[in-house]
Amino acid sequence: MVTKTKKVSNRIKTGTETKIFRILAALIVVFFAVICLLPFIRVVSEAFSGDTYVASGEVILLPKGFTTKHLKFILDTHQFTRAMFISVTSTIVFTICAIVLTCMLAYPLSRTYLPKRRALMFYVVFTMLFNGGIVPTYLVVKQLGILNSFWALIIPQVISQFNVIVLVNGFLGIPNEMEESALLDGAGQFTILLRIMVPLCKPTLAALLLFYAVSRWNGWFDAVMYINDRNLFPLPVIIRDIIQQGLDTLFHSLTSPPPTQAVQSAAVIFSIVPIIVVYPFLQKYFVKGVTLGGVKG
Amino acid sequence: MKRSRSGTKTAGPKKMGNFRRHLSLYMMAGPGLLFFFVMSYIPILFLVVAFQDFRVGKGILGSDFVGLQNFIELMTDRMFPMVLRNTITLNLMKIVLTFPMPIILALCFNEFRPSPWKKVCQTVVYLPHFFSWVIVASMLSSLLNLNTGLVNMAIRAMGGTPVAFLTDKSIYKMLLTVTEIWKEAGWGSIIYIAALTAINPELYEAAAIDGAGKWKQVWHISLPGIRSTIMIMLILSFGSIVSGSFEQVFMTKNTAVYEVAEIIPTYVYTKGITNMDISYGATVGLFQSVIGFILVTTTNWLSQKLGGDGLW
Repeated sequence: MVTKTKKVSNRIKTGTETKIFRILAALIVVFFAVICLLPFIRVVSEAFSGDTYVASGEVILLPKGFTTKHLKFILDTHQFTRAMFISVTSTIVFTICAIVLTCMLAYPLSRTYLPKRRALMFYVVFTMLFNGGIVPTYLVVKQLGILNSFWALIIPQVISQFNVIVLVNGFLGIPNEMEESALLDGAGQFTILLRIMVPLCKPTLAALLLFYAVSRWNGWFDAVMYINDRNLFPLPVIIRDIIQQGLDTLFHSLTSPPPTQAVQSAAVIFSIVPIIVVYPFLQKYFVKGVTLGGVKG
Repeated sequence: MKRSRSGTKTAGPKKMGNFRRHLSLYMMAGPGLLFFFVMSYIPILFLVVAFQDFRVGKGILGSDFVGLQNFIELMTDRMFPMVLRNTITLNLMKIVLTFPMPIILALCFNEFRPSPWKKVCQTVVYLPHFFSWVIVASMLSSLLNLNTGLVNMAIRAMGGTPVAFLTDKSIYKMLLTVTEIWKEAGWGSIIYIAALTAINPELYEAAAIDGAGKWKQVWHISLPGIRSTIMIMLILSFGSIVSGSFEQVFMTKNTAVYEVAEIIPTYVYTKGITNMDISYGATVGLFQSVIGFILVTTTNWLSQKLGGDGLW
């Protein structure tokens, strides 16, 4: 009898505790999600609001005095459209090169029968643990003769060790029989990679595609380090200029006042919209990509 | 003798096939391996400039060796203790405050069955990870503006006095930590969410029957279940104690907070690239790389020694 009541009270206790726990968890998640979303909503509203409203702090979450003139202003700035062009082309070229090279490196590293595989893997992973730092890397880029050229945006970061590990794990997950049967049919390694491995690893590759594209699209550090020519600046460098210097040389020719907060927000919009558009479609893939990277290879 | 010959004979053709197969694999890996040789191993060789008085005109082979002079300069550099202290305190703050956040978030997400709402929340919290520090810094300056910033408007509405967040030395590091949480906690939770789904649900059922409440279940089932993932992430974060996010600091630092903002990576950049003191920049960078390497290998070794998981 005593034990029975104890059990019942136990169940009631765990019942209410579970409920409190659930509510708390929901609150934390929703709170965090709202915090994550707020700044974006505000940037968008500022970009579409009249200057006076933004300057006086009247824009809180919704646009006031709706206008698209800031976006038009940005688009009419030659320097900005130029940077947009550089960013788009470099992101496309970079992503293609990166994916091809990562596949070509990860596939051999995933073949467990390959002699010296572990040594090669160590060769790649070691560069994550120890590197020369930015100054010697800068010297190498200089020696390569690509300083201040389009290729400085492509070559120095074209393969990421983390992505190689992710893809090696992805390839390891494909049953060996696939490769064996293709070999019996007389297929070469390149054919196997292209016809069998790549199609079977599409989700992982989609994740890597996103990681590489975003890293180039957002990349600012390597651009300021390797590039001096204003005609080769990608978007982040220009946006940083607009934000940092206020009245910048790029706006001098336009006989206009320094970029207002609204104009700055409009510039930011151009940088984040492409990501927001692509990102939800790739979400289910990159979750897999991140998870694979955490597994030891 | 005879036996071994016949052995090689039968293995011969197959070996040739294997050899060709392996050769084409090595060739395939060639460009990638070359990339790491050029962009990672040659820079390591180029660290020799840390022992030189490097002159751009003379090149690496022509510049004079000065032994440990650059390291002596590093030890007597009046700025360096400040830079090192900033780097370590900032990263320790990040480890203590930022590190648990993705785990807490993942535990919260774990409470919900798959639903469109959960999906939307996950999509939203992963999003900030995909925006550059350039963008985040601009949002920050807009949000924290003394007059028109949302945060100060809220403070004023509650009757407080507005705070100049971006130029206040005493809260600068906290600001970096909070922005880091905002940007990366959601993204970091992915790996823990995945680890949590791997835990056998029967364990929770059994615990509930035994009268264990939710807190006890989290403590005795969820956390031990993702222990190895936590350890791996912790080892990795220890490795970055002497590095840090270059772009985050570079985008937000200003003259008002300079003395609490400068960290090793930004210092290397200022010395080595902006001031073109290649040798000294390389020296500071070498210091950073060596300490980082020692920290990762030691924590990894300790973790394995204590019976936990390691990176390798």
